[in-house]
Amino acid sequence: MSNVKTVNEIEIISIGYRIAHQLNIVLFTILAITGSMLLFPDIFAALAYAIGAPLAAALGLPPVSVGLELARTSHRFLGFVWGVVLIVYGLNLLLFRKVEVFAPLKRPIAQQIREAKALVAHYLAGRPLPPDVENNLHRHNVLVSYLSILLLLGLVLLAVSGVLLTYAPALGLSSSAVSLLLLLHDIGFYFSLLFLLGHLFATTHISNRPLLNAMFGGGKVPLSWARRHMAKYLHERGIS
Amino acid sequence: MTAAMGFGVLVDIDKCIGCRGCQVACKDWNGRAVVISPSPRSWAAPIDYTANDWKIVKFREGEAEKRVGTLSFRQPDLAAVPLNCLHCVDPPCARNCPARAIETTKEGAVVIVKDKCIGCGYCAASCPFDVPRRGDDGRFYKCTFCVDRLQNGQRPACVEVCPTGVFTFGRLEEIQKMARNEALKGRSVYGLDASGYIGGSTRWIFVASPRKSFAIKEEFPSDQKVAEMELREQLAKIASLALPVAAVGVAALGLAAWRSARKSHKEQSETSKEE
Repeated sequence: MSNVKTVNEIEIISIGYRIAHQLNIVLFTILAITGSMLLFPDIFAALAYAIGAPLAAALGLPPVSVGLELARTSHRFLGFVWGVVLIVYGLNLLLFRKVEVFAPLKRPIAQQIREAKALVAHYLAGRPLPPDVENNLHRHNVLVSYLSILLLLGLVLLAVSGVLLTYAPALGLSSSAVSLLLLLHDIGFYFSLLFLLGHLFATTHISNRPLLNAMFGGGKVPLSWARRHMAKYLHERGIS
Repeated sequence: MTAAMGFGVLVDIDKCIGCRGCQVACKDWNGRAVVISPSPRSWAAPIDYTANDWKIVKFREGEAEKRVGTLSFRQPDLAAVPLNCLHCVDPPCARNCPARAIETTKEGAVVIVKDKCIGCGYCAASCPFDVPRRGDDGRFYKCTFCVDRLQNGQRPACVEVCPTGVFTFGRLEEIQKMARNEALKGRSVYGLDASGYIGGSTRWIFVASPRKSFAIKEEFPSDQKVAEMELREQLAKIASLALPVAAVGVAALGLAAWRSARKSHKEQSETSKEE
């Protein structure tokens, strides 16, 4: 029975990739919530109160302020934890030449736009992909590459401004430098939220259900699905 | 809190002799610790605000046009500028404080509530006059407009002690009217008709004769705003509305795609049954 399953499925998400992804989900979610508590204090005031109330009585301070202080402290600490995770994972990708997400960008721009239009029509209106586009799909399609650029830009802004903001007093940064860093940190956050919206739409799309199952399951997708969604990738690896 | 409410102070730079009595009175009334500052290349000590120095006197050098009879000539001049928080009508520090630790009292004093402050420094980053300063405890401090004195019918300590009458204390409306009259007389005024970022006016309004107007030009920013923080505020406003709309839109698109796939799946299975 197990032999049959192996023949019909292909592993496209390694265990390392899944661990990194799950860590990213947890850390990004906590960082986004704790950061949003500082960015949108009125919207998240109830959450700040709920988090701060248990300690507020002991400290004799207002619950919202204690909640925000906890959010700010954990935001800074977990930001560094996430940074370490990303650096380790990024080095692994770079050193072992595993960066495949930008492969579709090597194609001519006209071809990229044609693929992007076909994919948008496919995902939004359910139109079938033209055969030439379907046969040329990499492991990651061109829309994933575009979203990854947005994410990379967001991460760079978040990381650089986040580290500098944390050490601003020690580095003696002026308040005008701090205000610029705050703006860049916010822009990085908005970029990553835009990425997240696109990413969530794509991964929860009905036609990508096997991919979602693979990410939160054993990392494998049915070969029939892979043939439709990453034909070129399979061809390059001699899988037909 | 509107501009018509609360108090204001007119600061006449021409009357200031730089005695720093106001600085001492501020420290005394507010119980702030002495700060040993490095010997500055200026008569000002300290040379900038600290968490314990909420009132400072800076000295500015410039060229002033002078007249003796019909003779007109330019000559170097010195101006002492007594400085503290300008207590903006719509303080950006308060708008940007995530802990809502900065409040404008009914007297018009912009006050940091120490217990609520989480030390994030957004107030300092958003202040066009670079006023709030981080203390040793990580929290931020600045002039309180002597709100405790105001609430007990007294004038601020610095106003009370000034020997030359630099400060004119009163209702903000009256102070603004006085400042406008000074402007009509040809004196330089700072704090009126200011940027919308600070609510259009400060509560501490500075006036100087043409002779000392270089001090105002050198001491204060011309546009009374921090462009990055202004943009940040606008982006946050847009994002707080646009992000939920975008999330709902993406969910709706996903639902529509799911329904369409379900429909075609049903049609396919019915066709295969018929066959």
